[in-house]
Amino acid sequence: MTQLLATALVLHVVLGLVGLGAIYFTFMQVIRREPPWGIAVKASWTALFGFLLSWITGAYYYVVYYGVEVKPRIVEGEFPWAHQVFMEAKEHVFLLIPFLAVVVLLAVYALREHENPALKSATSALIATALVLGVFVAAAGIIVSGGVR
Amino acid sequence: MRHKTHMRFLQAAAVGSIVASVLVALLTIVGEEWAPLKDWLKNTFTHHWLGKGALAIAAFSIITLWQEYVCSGERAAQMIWYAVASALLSTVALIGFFVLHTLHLV
Repeated sequence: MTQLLATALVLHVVLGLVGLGAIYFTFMQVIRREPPWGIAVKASWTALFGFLLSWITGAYYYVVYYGVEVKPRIVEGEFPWAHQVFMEAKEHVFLLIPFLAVVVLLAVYALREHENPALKSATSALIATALVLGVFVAAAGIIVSGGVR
Repeated sequence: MRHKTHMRFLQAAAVGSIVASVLVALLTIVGEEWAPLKDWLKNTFTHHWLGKGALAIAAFSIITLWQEYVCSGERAAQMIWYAVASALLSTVALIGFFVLHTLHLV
């Protein structure tokens, strides 16, 4: 693996975790009785950028290296399901998260301007959904890494 | 006025994310079952996964811009709940499909 690919892989993981941490932090702010909206806005921007940059760096690694060098080793190895179930599900579920992050950001802006309990409940559920999908993607990544051995 | 614009954009983006979620699940599952679709994605976008991402971005952008013109923003909370449901259902459909596919049941 080249230095550039290794860097892309590390950035994909780190930026994904930054996005995940930021979306969790956004959730913790939004569910408060009196949310600090300024902090929630910053956290949701961080989450959006984290997920988008993780998408770009992950895409480079996945398209250039994973499919050619890693996937065949997993599929022919002891744990082919690590790719067939977890990588396949992970790479596609990941595609949903940035769109949810955009909606989260817009919802936090709307809530900052005007109190709306119905919108706050729906936004909390949306952030929780993005968080759950993000945790699944991260956990699947760990399983896929283990499947290479 | 500014709040109303935000609510309209929010509702529009929620509808856009619903379409993007369903589109990703459909392109993935249909693409696995019907090879010409996956081949078209590969040939057009160099990789099927890049194709799904590009089409999801295009669908999200077009639907959001279109909805921003036509919606009032009054149903933003409801559309967010639909966005939650569509993301969760798409995820369950994707995971379920790949489990069944691995077990050679589909």
